[in-house]
Amino acid sequence: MTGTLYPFLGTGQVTVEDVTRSSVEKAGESLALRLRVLEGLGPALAECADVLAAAFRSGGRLYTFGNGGSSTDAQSVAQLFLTPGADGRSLPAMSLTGDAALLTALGNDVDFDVIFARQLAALGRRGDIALGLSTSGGSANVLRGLEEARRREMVTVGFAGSGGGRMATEELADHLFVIPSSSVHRVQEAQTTACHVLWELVQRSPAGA
Amino acid sequence: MAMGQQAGTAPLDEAAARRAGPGKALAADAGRIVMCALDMAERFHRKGRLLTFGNGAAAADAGHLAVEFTHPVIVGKRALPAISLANDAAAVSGLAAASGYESVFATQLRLLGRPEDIAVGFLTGDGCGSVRAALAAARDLGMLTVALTASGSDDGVVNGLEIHHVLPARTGDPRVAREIHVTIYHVLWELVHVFYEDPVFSLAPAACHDDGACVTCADTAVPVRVTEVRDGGLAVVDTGSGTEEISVALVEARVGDVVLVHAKEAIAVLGGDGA
Repeated sequence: MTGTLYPFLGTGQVTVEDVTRSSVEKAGESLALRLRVLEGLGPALAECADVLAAAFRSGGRLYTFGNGGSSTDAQSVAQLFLTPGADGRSLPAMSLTGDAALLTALGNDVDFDVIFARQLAALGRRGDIALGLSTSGGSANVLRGLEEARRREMVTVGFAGSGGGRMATEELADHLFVIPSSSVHRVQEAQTTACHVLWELVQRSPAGA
Repeated sequence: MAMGQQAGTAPLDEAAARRAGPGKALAADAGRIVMCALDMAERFHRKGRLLTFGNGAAAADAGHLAVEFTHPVIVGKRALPAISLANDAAAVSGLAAASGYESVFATQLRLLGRPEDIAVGFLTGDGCGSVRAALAAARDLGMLTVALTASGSDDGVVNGLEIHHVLPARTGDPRVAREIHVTIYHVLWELVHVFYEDPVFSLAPAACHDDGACVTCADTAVPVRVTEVRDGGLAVVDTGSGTEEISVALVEARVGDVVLVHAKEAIAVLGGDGA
């Protein structure tokens, strides 16, 4: 009884030991991917951070967007820039995924593909920053958002996984970060780290002083 | 730009180093996620729902966790019911204005929640009073309670609450803790499905609606003695406080055996005089 609480769980299909072992492996993969991303994309993140810091210094605002889990990740990024607590300076940032009235109006009346582009057309100005997240690199509304942002001469930042999709092939972001994994979950986890480190580097960048 | 990159190298190395320890600690904590997923799967089988909550970036994580369950990214995985209590600005700000911010999640839990539900709160240090209050309310209501914590929030804060499952990020850095939490809830989602689809659970009968006196459908495994084997893989067992009918379809149980029963299903024969 003391060894495992559920000794024959699943009667041959699943054991707690198997499941634990696979979870240990996943935690290891998650960390390894994060470290690989920091090593591979780190210099580009630092370069992007200098550009963002300069944009903020010139009065730019950050707009973030994505779908599903990436919509909440976009909210986290905006929240981190806006209210970093004692760890950093508050910078102007907002997520384009939080306004249900606007999202449902655009989705219902026009097309779901325009939900971010329309907002950027209304809010975005030259020198602002658009940051789009898509694990596939192919989300139509994220890509249209980046296109609109570029039209408005905003700084465009894209996060993608799975080879980068159309975001990569059509070069839709000035600063593109492709996470080398085909697992949506591992991509989101490494994107979280990349976004956090990007924020850390913006806070330290001499370009923002 | 070359200078900028040189200057950027040390912070990058430092950023990586800061993440290695907590990442390894998560692997060591995998067993905690497994046991939590097991209990969550059992709750979903009883028609329980997942209710999530957190503040600041963790409010976004509460939404992310809920959407993992309601709209799985892996095609073919079953959608399971989940709601974030942090999403609705009208509800959250309305409750905060009416009764103070600490009540925003606890009030929603009391109104929307049911005893079979699962409450997952992110205790990340930012205004955690509302999360603590909600976890305490969830516990009072009989829900399964789960807390994702960061170092500094898991001592003292969690202790008084008697939370069923504490899933820690072993770092005091709020960004790194958040990164660990994302991995925790991704793995958690995956494991809930592993257990949910397991025969032990798919064979389990629907929730018992007795008045809380049912021993064998509890969400912890309990040993009971078989007093009668019936047709259809069923058996009558002595729970120590009466007799109940359970399924013994997965084990070779005889009269006199002590079996371990979980959610009305015998999952192991522990011994006894039946053999």
